[in-house]
Amino acid sequence: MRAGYDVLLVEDEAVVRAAVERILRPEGLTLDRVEDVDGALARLRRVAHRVVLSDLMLPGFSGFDLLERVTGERPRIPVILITGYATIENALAAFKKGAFDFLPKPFDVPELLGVVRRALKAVERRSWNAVPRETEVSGSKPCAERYFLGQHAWVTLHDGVATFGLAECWPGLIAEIRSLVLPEPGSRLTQGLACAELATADESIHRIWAPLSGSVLEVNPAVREDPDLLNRAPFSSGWLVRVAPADLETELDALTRRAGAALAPAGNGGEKEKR
Amino acid sequence: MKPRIARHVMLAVGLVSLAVFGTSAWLASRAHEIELAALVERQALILSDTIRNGTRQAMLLNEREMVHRIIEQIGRLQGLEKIRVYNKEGEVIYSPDATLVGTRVDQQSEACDGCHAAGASVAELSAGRRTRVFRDEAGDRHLGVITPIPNEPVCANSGCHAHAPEKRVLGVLDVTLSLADVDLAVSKGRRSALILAIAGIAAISLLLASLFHRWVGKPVRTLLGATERVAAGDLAHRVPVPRGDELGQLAASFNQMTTRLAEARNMVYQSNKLASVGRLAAGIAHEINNPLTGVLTYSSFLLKRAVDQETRSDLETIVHETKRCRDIVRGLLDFSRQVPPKKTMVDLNAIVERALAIVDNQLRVQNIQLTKTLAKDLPPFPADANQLQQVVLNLLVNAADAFEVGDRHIFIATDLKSVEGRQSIEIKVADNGTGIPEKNLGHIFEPFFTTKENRGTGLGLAVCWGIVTEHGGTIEVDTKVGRGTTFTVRLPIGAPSASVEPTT
Repeated sequence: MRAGYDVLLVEDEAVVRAAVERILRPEGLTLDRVEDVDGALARLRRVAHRVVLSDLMLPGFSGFDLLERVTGERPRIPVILITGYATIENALAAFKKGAFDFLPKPFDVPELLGVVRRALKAVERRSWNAVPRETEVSGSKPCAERYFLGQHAWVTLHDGVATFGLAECWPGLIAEIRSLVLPEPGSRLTQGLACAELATADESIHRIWAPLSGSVLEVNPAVREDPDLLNRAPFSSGWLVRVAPADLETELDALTRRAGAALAPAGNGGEKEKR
Repeated sequence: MKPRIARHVMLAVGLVSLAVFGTSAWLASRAHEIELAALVERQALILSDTIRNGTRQAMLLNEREMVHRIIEQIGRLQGLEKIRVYNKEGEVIYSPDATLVGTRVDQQSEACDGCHAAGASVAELSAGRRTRVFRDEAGDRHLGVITPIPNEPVCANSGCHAHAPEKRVLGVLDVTLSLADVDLAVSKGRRSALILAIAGIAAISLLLASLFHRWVGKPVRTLLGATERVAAGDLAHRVPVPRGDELGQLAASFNQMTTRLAEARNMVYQSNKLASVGRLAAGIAHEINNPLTGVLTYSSFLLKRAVDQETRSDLETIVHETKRCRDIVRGLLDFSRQVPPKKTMVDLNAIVERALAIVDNQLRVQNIQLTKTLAKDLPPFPADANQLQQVVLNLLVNAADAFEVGDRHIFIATDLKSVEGRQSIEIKVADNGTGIPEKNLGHIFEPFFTTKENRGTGLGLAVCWGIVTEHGGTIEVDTKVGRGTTFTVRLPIGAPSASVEPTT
């Protein structure tokens, strides 16, 4: 990676720009700041950036426009979209359009650090967009067919029960997991809102967005016991929760249907979930 | 406002009774008149025959003086105007009025019409044709009776002044009576009939008017007033329902309509309020999230670097409270994101059990007793299971927050009820807590209304209301301060729903 900035921040709100800089700089991360999409594109042409962190609601072109340009021209740069809560639907659309993750405002330090570090690590390991999106992967180890929320989370459906797990954005990218907050059985999840939270040893917090709405039937006890399963077997025994979906018909539209990722370390996961 | 319908009815009744009374009065007076006339006529005939028979003997003996006297005596009778006896030539030969004796009567005169109308003379006259009624120049009515004096064999054979035997009639007795008394009696009768009729019509009209006023006018005016008040927006106004007649039914159905209208308006009002709250929340969220990001990031950044324990504790408070702001905004947005229910066939008891499982621990910690009465064999019905669970949960959480001191008891019951001919599933959540004061009761379903100070967002019941309404149901509250509160949710079932899909 040639010299440049770690993060390109596109944000029209001065206080947020200043805050992000204040948080990232002590971490030894370099930050390039612009206020709108035109500025961002100009900077992207001139200087190298490892990660783009962009607000969705910007004057002129929106964060979506920037996302499309970046995924089209520089697919290996992860784009994290910062959204207000009011734009959950937009955030879901962002996943569909290829965003790495989204960060709802207001966020605190561990949350910002968590997502930025994860994206940087993905760049470092060259794992971002390593799998072709929305295409069949006909590898030697075919996995069960799944629905994906971007490369963030996956869903399988069996007998009206949905099983969630973590997708390509996670395995190996999160440092030692300190704690894992999982939903209680019976609680209600909303698509696009947090369904679980990970705290890692590097004082980061990572939130996992529910790929579907529904009420929680079961939480994987194995993951509760051994959270590192999320790193080791995210597509099989490392599943997170089982949910009774509330509104499959409309919510599946926000997801992408494709085969499991090639980087899935174990192929027996599919069989396990078929039982 | 004068009810014109009353005037119309009065006019119609007046006209009808005028026709009925008028006709009957006229018929009665006419019959009376005819009867009187017949009576007078009969009297006149008797009188006439009496004169003829009384004078017969004198005539036979040709005692003219005697005839004169008899006729004169009779002529003094009251009401008897004229007595004339004509001979065959029309010459008056006897009359109490001496001036008339010797005068001649023309055969064309009205007195002679009975026999000589057609130019021919008739020997025998029927009783009806012997009498005639005529008016004099003054317009007074008179009754004339003519009595032919036949040529008897005694007359023809008598030696005095023998009449030729071939003559059938020797002369005519003409008696005229005044009808003034009869006419007076008739006109008196007519007048009293008229007065009676008018009095009758007036009495009927007045009676009718008062009854109409009582039975129709007043209730109609009350209804009219009520429609005006309702039109002006007073949907709480109700009409008293006095009787079971059509107007009473109208009043009852008017009240029902107003109740429905009030319910509908309330629903629209609540929905509009929820919708505007949603828009407001979305707007606020976006605006407030930027400054909140600043506060949260800076404070959590400072917290990360702070060493001094006191500073750390202060910063922790700031971070914590800012996160609470975030949760409130999130709650607002969750609320504004409420989607139409996704209905599947659900088992209400299972939903209640799931909700109870979630609050079970909380109830135990708060030392709250729970009594559960779930109806067996509740039919599955189309509903959004998650949303209903949220309703039950919110009601349970509210009930759990309703206690201050003393015995803590929550009752939850499900049942199948038939309301207005429609089957409804009913969920009751009751507590024996503090109850809801009157002044709060009207606001409990409003978004942001809370009595829980810092613990609530004020959205719980508003969300319940929204969900239940979306399911076509109702939510009712029955509360008494110091005694407790009962929330009753009724969901109609059996209505065909297009969006039902069976679950496996």
